[in-house]
Amino acid sequence: MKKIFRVGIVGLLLLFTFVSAFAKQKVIKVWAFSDELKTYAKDFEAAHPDIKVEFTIIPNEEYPTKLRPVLRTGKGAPDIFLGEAAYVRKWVELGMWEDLSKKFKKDIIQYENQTPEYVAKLGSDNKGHIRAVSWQATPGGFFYRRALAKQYFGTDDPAKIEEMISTPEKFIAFGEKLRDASNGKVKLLAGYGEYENIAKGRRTQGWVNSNKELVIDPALIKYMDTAKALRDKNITAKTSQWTPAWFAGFSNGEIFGYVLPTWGLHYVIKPNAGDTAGDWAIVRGPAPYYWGGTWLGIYKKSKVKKEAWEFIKMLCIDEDYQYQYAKKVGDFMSNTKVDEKLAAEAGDPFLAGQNHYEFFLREAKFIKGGLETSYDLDLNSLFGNAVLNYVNGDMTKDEAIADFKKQVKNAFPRLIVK
Amino acid sequence: MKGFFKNKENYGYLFILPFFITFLIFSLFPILYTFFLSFNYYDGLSDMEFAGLAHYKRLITDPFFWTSLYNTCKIWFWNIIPQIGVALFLAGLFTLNKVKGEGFFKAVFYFPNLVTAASIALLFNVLLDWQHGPINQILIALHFIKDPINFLNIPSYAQNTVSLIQWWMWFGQTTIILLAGMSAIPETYYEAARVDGATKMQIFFKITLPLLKPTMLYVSVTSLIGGMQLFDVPAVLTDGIGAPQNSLMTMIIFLYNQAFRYENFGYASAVAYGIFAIISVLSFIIFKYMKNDK
Repeated sequence: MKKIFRVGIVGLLLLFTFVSAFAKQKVIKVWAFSDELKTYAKDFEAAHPDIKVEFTIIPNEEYPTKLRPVLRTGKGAPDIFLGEAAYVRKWVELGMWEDLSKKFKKDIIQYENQTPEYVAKLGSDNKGHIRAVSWQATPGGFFYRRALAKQYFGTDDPAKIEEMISTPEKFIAFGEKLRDASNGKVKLLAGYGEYENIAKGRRTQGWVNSNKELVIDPALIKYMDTAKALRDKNITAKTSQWTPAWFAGFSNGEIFGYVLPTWGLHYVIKPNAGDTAGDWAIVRGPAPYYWGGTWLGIYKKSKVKKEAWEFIKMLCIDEDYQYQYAKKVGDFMSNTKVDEKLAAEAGDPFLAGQNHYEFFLREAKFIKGGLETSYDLDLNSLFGNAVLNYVNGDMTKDEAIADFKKQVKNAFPRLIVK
Repeated sequence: MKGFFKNKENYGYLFILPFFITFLIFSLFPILYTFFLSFNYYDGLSDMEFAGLAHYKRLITDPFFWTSLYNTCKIWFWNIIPQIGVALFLAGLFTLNKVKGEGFFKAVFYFPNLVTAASIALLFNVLLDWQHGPINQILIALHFIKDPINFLNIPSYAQNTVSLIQWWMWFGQTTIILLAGMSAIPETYYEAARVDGATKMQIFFKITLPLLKPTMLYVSVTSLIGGMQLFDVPAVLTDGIGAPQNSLMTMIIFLYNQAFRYENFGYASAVAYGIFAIISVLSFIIFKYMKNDK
């Protein structure tokens, strides 16, 4: 009996040591729609051995649908979840993310000081409190082939090319000149749809105003004309983004340039460029714009908010780590100081020595923040459809706009559509 | 409780219990909950708000809903007519004649049904591509057309493509069901007809077709229910919103977008009940028509 008792005591002690060893290591659950941050999670775990990161990756199409019920009930919910530019506003406004300005005031002030305004604004609620932060900024530009520029315009100097395409009218005229000089062989763009992001960059108002009224910015009406001209004047290759033909255009010499942001360079152009390395340059198109980006926030019912913040802080605020990360992945970082450091370094041989950090740094300053609404994802895609109907000649401009308004009313019955 | 199981016959209830439990949780509860939702405003995250009959009132006057009904019926009609026609022809051919390699053909006709609809839609999307699709390339090479046709951007082409895909995926299945129905018709009728000197055509139209009515009824009703729920092919073929110009917006795509794209769960629930009512009415009409026509 005594023996059993003793064994029991020893066993219990052993159990306690195990339990406490495990209890020390806190677990944070992160939900994401891509594996982009997996390498970061490893770096973070190495720097914080007491915190374990559990990643759940859900395909983009199902991501909002899967998140909604767990956020509502809190059962099986993540501590941190990521939001893409397309729907980050929705979650910020729904208040599912913790108010970071309140909870981590000092860090957030530092973040706001060193981050481009539009990035901070996209993650802040109607009171101006930050609820989600990002490690990157994603300003965009117009990437073009130097050899084609030299052949048809006599120069590949970015400053000169930029001047030639600085307005929508000049952009179209440039495309016409290119079309005629190359006998229709080289097209300015792969498709008119690429121009959409530039058009959005020219806006001064968001989709929905504070009275919940639908607003169609004049820049978007103008976009319809530009898109129609791009198609009718035969200066695009009539394909759309992410199709095989679009990818082929990076190397086959039939497409002059692409409208892509920061991540486009290392995730899209470089892997598809074939032997055109060194033949690229980047300039501003008819307007500065941004495209995409990912924000992180802490679920308001999380029980490990402090640890979750450590995870976000190291990636989004820590200057040393941001520099390391940029070197490893090639992202344009949200910390302007880091970008300035990178802009002072040597340029990218892929861009024939042009320093893209320097370019993006300039662009980030011109991007107007605060235009995004929680309706953007759906309104953009419905409006894209209206533009398509006009460009294809199935509807007149007025018909397409009227049809768009009907669709908006149908999708969001509580919006005021005039 | 003990007394209940004294009677051995009551053990049967124990065996059917699992089905009823799963049915209650996974079928009946969602059906009733949907009904409840249809009287509320609900976005999936905020609190519900009572809406009364507002959603049903909107449903009746919603031009988008009626367009989606029209699209669905049109796509279904141009799929079911050729489908039953071809299936009848093939089934008749196989029953009234000895066809070499019958099993092989049956298997081949059934194949398209084994592939997921979404992959077939994706395949057609590539085939019909405007600038680079093989179909346009072939038509241009053969000098049938000068400029490529933007098939998936023209409403009638897009709808007929869906009908074609549905026909191609389902005629094999229908053929096999009709074959089963035909083989159930007693051989003696055919023998008697042959002795009386009837031709194959006469046998088919005077004996096979009338006796095949129950099978035809089955095929029509199941196809109707499936056809009204058309979703995956049109959703993948274009952008999922119903492009071009709402022509591919079927009832279920409309429902799906209201629920999961625009987060109007209350209205989407009302749409679901609207679709339920429409399918009931249409099934009833088919049933009546087929039964009375004696």
